[in-house]
Formats: sequence, structure tokens, C-alpha cells
Amino acid sequence: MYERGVRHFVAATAVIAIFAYLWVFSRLGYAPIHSDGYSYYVYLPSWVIYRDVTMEALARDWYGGTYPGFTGLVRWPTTGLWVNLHPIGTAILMAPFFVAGDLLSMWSNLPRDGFSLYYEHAAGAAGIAYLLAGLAVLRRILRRHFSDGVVLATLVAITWGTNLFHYGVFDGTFSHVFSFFLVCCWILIIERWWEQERPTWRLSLALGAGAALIVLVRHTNAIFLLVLPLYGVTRWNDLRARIGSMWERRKWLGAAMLVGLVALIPQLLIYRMSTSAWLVSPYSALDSGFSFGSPRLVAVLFSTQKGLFFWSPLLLLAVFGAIVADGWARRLVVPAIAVFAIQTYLAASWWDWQFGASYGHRAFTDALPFAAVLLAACFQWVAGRVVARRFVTGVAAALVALSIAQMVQYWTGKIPIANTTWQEYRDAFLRFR
Amino acid sequence: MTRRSTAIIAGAVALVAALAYLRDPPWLGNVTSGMREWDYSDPRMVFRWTAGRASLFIPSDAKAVMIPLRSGIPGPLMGEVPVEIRVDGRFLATITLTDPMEWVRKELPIGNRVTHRRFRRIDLHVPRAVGQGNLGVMTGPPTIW
Repeated sequence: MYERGVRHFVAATAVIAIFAYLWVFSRLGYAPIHSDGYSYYVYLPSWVIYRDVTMEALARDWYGGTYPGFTGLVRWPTTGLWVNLHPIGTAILMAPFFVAGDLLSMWSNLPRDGFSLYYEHAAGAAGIAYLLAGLAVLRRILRRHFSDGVVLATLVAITWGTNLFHYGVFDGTFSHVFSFFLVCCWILIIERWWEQERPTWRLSLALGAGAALIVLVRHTNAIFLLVLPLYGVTRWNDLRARIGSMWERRKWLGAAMLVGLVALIPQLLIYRMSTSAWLVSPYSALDSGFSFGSPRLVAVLFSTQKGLFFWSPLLLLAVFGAIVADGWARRLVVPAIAVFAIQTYLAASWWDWQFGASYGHRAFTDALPFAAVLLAACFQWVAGRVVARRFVTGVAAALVALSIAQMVQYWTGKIPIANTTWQEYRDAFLRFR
Repeated sequence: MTRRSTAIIAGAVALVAALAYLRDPPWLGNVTSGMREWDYSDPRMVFRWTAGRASLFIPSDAKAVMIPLRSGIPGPLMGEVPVEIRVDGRFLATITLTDPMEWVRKELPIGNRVTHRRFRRIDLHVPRAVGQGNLGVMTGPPTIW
């Protein structure tokens, strides 16, 4: 039974995602390309339809020359040119869907403007497709190391017990589900790369391309590159050996780095062209950035506003999983803790530590593949203990149901998009009218 | 025939059928782009705002079209707001809105260009977008002859 469930999980999720998508975007009146999704997407119409990398032509055509504030495009103070707050990676991953939408628009005589019917839904479909692709890769990783029952429980928990499904369907044009897919691939590639006594060139090139895409989708996700040296490290003594083994693999590592650097060049050229500098923080044009001296650590993890464990309490089981993990999962504990610690510090230090409008805390959605492995470790541990298994099954099922209910509340406007207070949370708790 | 080749053939047939349907779908007349929802706040005239670009569809057998236009908010250049109108991508006319409060109604002959589709696409282009609402011009329901 579990084997069939695992086998059909992605297909079943696809059906549910399509129904949820149709409900959200036909009945609730939202457009797939909205909020931050606009700035991740806008490269594509600018490059393909307007044949303009400066973004000027689209601004002239749609807005009389000046992008409105919601678009996330700002004029760089010293050059007067447009700079996008968000990098190009999401647009690159969306490109096949955009091209399909563009061709279909021409075929159906819809306006080739980048934002008409097929463009909107092509971008929305990209979010669902990368959610499903990420889940398929995650299933492949988990099946190699866990039983079918554990894999199925983990896939259900990570998809609906967190904000992952929301970021595949409702906010599918944001970067998070694309990062989720890339991080799943990253774990798979790293596992294979270290498993092979002599890594293949193909795998090494994939390593470089994967690293570059992760950085191109979200620059701060460069922290995921730490997983490569930390994979399999469980004690301090392992670090010295790891440095040695990386030196032994320097030939393949060098090739991966070369591919990665070449893949980053388009983004660097865009920064150079619009700001005269190779590396910039576009947010500095808005006087926004990090306050490393006063991080809101507790708020980011536990507050009613966007607290990770408040809105996705199921992830506390992943924390337990980090303690009880053994076998293969143990190899990912140190990298997962390192990434989580830095991720938490960065999010808590960001000027808008709630990350604006979002269901749960979206800064952590990108790292959910690590949480999935640790959840699986937790489920594996309880599987052999009757009382613990019954307790965890009941708790996990209740938390998944709660997460789905709150996601629907968020979609229908019952839960505020940000700044939720305890009183507001209590008043809205499980209310749908 | 293997199961795989059957699936490929079925997929190809479904794709061709979908493309044939989407070439000229009957629901296209209800599709718009770059338009906000209808606003019923003015009892004399129902209207909706465009963005800097907007598109709508009219039946292909229409000989002429009239789209009521009002700028609502003065434009940046002497208060005038030019609205460029295209039909199926071809230039039709430019209507200049001089008085922000006046509805301009101009009948525009569409010409006899042959089309095998059910609908023609009308594109409006306004060289501005005002405020957070990204507003172009106000448009009323089109009249078709």
C-alpha cells in the first residue's frame, strides 16, 4: 500500500495542485504574477518581447517610463538605469514556460505583451511544475534510504505540513519553490558526487551548474554551497579528512567552479551594465539591508507574525529528527544545522524580517529538502517504537490538517498577510466565514 | 504497439486537438488584458481603468467600433493624454484626450481586412500609468456596428 502511495504521490499532488490553482485564480480573483513574483518574472518579457536587457522599453510601454513601486525595480542613483531587486535565476527556470505562453499567445491572437492570459498562467504553471519536480527528486533521495511508509509520511508532511504547497500554487511565481527544486537536486548531486570514488565530469559539471542556479535564484542561498564540504561531516575530526578529500578531487572541483562562474556571468554583466559595479546589493538603492547587530531571532522562529515553528509546528519533528538521525541521514545533520543557523541569522537581521506578505516564514521554504530528510529520520526512529509511533502519527496528522486549514484561511483573507497579532490569530483560529 | 508508444500517440493527438481549439476559442470575446474590474461607482457611466497597455476583443464581423474614453487625471504634457488604438496589431487611430472630465466617443471604421477568426483584438496604448493603481485611461463599454 505504501509503495503505491509513494509511486503515485507526485501525480496525486499534481491533481490537487491543479484544482487548488483553478480555485485560487478563477474564484478568488488573484493573478499568478503578483508582488515579488513580478520582479522575478519581468526579465522574460523584457528580454524576449521587448528585446531589451535594460528594462527601459517595458517601462515606457506599460508605465510611461517609470516602474511603479510594487514592481521592485529601482533606478540606480549613480547611473539612472533600472535595477531589479531580484536576480535572474527564477526567470531562467521559468523560460520554457514563458516561451510556450508566448507562442500560444501568437497562435490565439492574444496580445504579445508579457502579461496577458497565457503568460500569467504559464508563469503559474511553472511554479506547480517545479514543486512537482522537486517532490519527485526528493522522493528519489528518500527512497534510497528510508522505507516506503516513512517516505510517504515525509512527503505528505513536507508538502502540506509546511508552506511548500502554498509557494508552489498561490505564490508560485516567487523564487521559493524554484529554490526548493534546486536544493533537492543539489542534495542528490552532492550525494552522488561524494559516493563516486572518481566523480564523473558530467556530475562535476552538474555540480557547478546547480550551484550557479542556486545563487542566481537567490543570492543569499549561496549558503547552501556549504553543504558540499560539510556533507558526511559528523565530528570535528572529519573536517580535516574532508579538506584532504576535497584537495584530492580538486580537478573535478575546479571544473565545477569554472562552470559555476561562467553561469554567473550574465548576472554580473547586468549589475555592471546598470550600476557600473560587478557586485551590488540592489536593496541599497532603497536604503534597506541587514541589521546584523540586532537580529530578531525569537520572532523569526516563534512569533505569531511569521515565526517558522509557530506557522509550521510540524518542523519541530525535524529538529527531533536531527537528534535521533542515524545512517545516511546523519551525514546531512551538520550541513542542515549550519544552513539553518545562517539562514535564521540572515532572516532575523533583514530589515523586513517577516519577509512581507507570506504564509508562514518564506525565508525557510528554500531549505525544506533538509527538513524533509530530518523528518524522515524522525519518522524512521518512531517507526520501531509502538507508543511513539502512535503519538507522532496523531500529532503529525493534526499539524498537517492545521497547516492546510490555515493556508486556506490565508488564501481567503481570514489571516492577515503580515503583522498578525496573537489576538488576531485567536479570533481567526479555524474560522472560515 | 507498446504502452509507451500508445501514450506518445495519444499525447500528440491531444496536443494537436488542444492547439486547434485554442486557435480560435469561443470564449476569447470575454478575455481582456491590462484592464481593471468594471467600476459602477458613477451612476451615469460604468467604466474600467486601463493600465499603460490594454486589450479587448470584439466580434470579427464588426464594421466599426466606438470605445468611450476619458483620461480622468490630466496627462504630463499640457494635460493631454494620447491613446493609440490598434486592431490585430495594425494602427487604427490615435485619440487625444484633452479634458480629463470629458468622455470622448469616436466611431472608428475597422476596414475590410479578412480574418478567419471569431474575434478581432483591439489594443489600447497610453504613454503613462498613474499612481499605485497603475492607471492609464477610463474606458466605457464598447459599441459595435
